[in-house]
Amino acid sequence: MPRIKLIPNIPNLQRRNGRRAGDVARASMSIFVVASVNAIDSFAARRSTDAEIAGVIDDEGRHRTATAVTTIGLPIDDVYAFLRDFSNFPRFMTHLDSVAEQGDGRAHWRLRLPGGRTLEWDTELIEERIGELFAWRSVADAQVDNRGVIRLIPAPGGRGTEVHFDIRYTAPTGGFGVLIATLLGMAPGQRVEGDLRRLKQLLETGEIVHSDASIHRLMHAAQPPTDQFVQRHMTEEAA
Amino acid sequence: MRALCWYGKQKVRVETVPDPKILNDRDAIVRVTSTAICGSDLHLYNGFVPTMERGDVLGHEFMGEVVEVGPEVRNLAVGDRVVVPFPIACGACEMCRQQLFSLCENSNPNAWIAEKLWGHSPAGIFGYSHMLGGFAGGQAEYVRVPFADVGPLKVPRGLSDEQVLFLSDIFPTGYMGAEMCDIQPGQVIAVWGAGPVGQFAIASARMLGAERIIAIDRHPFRLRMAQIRAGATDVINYEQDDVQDALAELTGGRGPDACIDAVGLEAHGHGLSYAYDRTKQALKLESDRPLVLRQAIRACRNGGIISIIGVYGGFIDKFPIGAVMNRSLTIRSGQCHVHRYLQPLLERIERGEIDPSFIVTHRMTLDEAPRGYDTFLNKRDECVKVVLAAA
Repeated sequence: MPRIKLIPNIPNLQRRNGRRAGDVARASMSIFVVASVNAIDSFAARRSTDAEIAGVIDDEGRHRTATAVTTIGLPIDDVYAFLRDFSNFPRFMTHLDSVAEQGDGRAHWRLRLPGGRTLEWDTELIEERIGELFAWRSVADAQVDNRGVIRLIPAPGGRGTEVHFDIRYTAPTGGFGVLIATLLGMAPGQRVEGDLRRLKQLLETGEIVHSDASIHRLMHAAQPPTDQFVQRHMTEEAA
Repeated sequence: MRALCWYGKQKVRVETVPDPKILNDRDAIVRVTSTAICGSDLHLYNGFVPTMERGDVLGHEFMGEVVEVGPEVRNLAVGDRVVVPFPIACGACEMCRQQLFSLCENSNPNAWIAEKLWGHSPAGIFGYSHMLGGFAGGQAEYVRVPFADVGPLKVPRGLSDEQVLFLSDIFPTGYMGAEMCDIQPGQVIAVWGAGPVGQFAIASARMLGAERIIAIDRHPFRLRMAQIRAGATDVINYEQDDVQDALAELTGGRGPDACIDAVGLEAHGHGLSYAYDRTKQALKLESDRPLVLRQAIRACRNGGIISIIGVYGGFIDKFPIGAVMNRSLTIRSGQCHVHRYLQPLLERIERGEIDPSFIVTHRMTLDEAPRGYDTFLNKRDECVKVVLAAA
């Protein structure tokens, strides 16, 4: 059996000028190569965990498109009935203040902006296949161009309902529009994923679970909140 | 109330913080009578777990008395004495219905952070980083327990705190580690790590009928406890003997039928491989040190099982996948699904098959918790387990 030669037979060119110089050069080369590989290695590890957020911001930030999907352990008819009632949306889409059903597939949406201004618009149903899909879009003269589609598919193995959610906002032009666009989502996909997670919690457990940190808007230590904070938070939730 | 708060690498302080409050209708508030410092708390203490914030209240092994319940909690009443499982579980999602409680799909409000690192999120955990929920922990006078109608186990007055406290984590964790080995009569099980979880893995392997159980550690006092109290038949001190040689000798060259890793990401060792992992971890090129995993995979008999209950967080290098594939090894792992073991293990305690209090070496008050962390980390005074009792 032929033996594999592990060390290639490279002539030692430096031998005459002194062995040391060659060794040092080789060693530094090896260190450089190992360091480079390690740098790429750690970069790749970080990249592989940095999941792409499903969402697109385009046209100088005016359009916000986002898609998200989840599976809810309830029959498709129950999930459809809950979602088809637009007034339920603010219960899991935390940026909305209220959505009022106005009959005939029309709904009135309301969102409070920082500084006390409110943004309101009307939508109409543009497609409905009961127990399967419905889509809406804002009416012609609305302040905000909003459209969305919700598609439901039975999950295999009787595991409930797959909810596919696509939503898009186009803010008006100008400074006000930029403010709205910012509010509607720095990372639109992440916001909608959060919305669907809350929807799942609400339908499966009857509540949206809070932690001592998650009730705060910004990062906060995992310490119980103060009485004042809880009072304010509960008042906001009730409103 | 007083609570143990994290402030950075090896910096913890007992401070006065607001009392916990009912935030959800299915919450309960528990007055903590006993809590313990877990080996996995040392990973937080040493700064190996990302997404910690200054001021986080730690602690996920605790028990106590119910002092308040939310309007939707009907199975508990004020005054009930309960042990609380460390993973938070809703009881309704698909994972909970399959009894995989540590994978609850609804209990982590910060699931999106965990998804970035791990693809999908496991359940929320008390006092264990923001990636796992940002829940205040139980090394405190009081603690808020979400989904209190699902997790807490009522315990009889006849048993002491120290006999039932470890149902919250380490006893079920060790038990699940042994259960994942599918132990058959006549089998030999090797357990890396004779800390609290390793001790319970050994004791559980014995209860599940293993013929021989080999404990591997470097601290003679822990190996002594493994042999005298937990029921190990043989011990290997890896600072004195080569683990591979010793295991071959003890198993007639076959290797153990199953290997339990009760060590996790901060494994110690010696030689080149240890230096390699220490360096890569220090340079943040590798988050976890997989010394035990490499050893266990190498030692395990053909077709055997590797059961991982020691905590890992991120990435490892030089993982011997060739040995796993070519020798038909099975790897099983998971944070313990504590809820499903509560009742059966409580019954084993009541029947006297095991008294989990045997691992307690140090008793302190909550205010002494920082000294408890230091004592446990540095194995001062032959420390195996620190229990903090209410003052």
